[in-house]
Amino acid sequence: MTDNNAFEQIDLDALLEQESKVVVQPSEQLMSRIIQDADHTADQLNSTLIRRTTPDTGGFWRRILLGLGGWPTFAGLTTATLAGIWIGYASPDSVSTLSSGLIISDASYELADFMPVFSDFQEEG
Amino acid sequence: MPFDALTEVSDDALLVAYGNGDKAAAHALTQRLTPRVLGFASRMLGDHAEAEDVAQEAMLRLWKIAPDWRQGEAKVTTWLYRVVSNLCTDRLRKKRGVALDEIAEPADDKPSAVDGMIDQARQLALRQALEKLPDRQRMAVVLRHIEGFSNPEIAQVMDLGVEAVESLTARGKRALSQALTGRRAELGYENDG
Repeated sequence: MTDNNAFEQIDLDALLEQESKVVVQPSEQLMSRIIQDADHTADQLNSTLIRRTTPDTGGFWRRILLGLGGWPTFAGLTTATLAGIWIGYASPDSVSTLSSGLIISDASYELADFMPVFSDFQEEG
Repeated sequence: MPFDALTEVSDDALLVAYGNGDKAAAHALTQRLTPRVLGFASRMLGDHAEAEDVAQEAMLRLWKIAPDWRQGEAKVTTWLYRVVSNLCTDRLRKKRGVALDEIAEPADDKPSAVDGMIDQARQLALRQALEKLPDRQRMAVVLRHIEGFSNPEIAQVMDLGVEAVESLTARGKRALSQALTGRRAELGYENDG
């Protein structure tokens, strides 16, 4: 670096230092807009916190539902119940095959015995 | 908490307090950070109205992040300047090709004082030269030499390595020097030397 460049460099550093002392003052309007944003956001956050921390005061059925484990458990129970009703009502062959196989001891079965036969599908169209 | 009692509290403690519902903490942070954020945005964009929009948006993002802020993990100013730099970059990209118009005149106007006028002219020339720098160089120079950030802090703000920051700053200063050298006589440096 030449002496001349060094001189210019010193000038630039001084200018930058002077510029760093210049404070860009925000307007009153900007400050009030930012504070309004802060207050509004705080209100939203507080209401979210209150919702999160408020104990559940739902009704009897809601407490039952939560006691069972919530909607996923309820859905599983409903499916099992409907399946039970359907099996009892329709009494498909494979179930009677299985039950007789369990009750009448010496009989043995292949997996194919519990599968629906092709004619069942034909009947259903 | 009374407002006066908050002046000694660190930025991240105030932000955590705000995240826990203390509005006074946000007021203290607004007073403390808005001038800095506005100054940075103003120097990056060269447009006071746009800089105000950026400052408001950056502060809004700060309020929203408050509940998730973990004290001691990051500096609030570094995070905030990073947001401002991203917002400025977006705006600069959008208005790329549009000529950067005049810079706001310095606030202190003393027409009778020749020295004051020369100082103002020099500051104005510096700002004009800054505006002509490529965005990344301008950002690095402003953060390093005007906002007073260290190189590792700038690296965090700009998402760069420290060496890249050093290179950007050096190139930026060289470009500024060249730009101002051409105006030495106009800015009264011939008489100084």
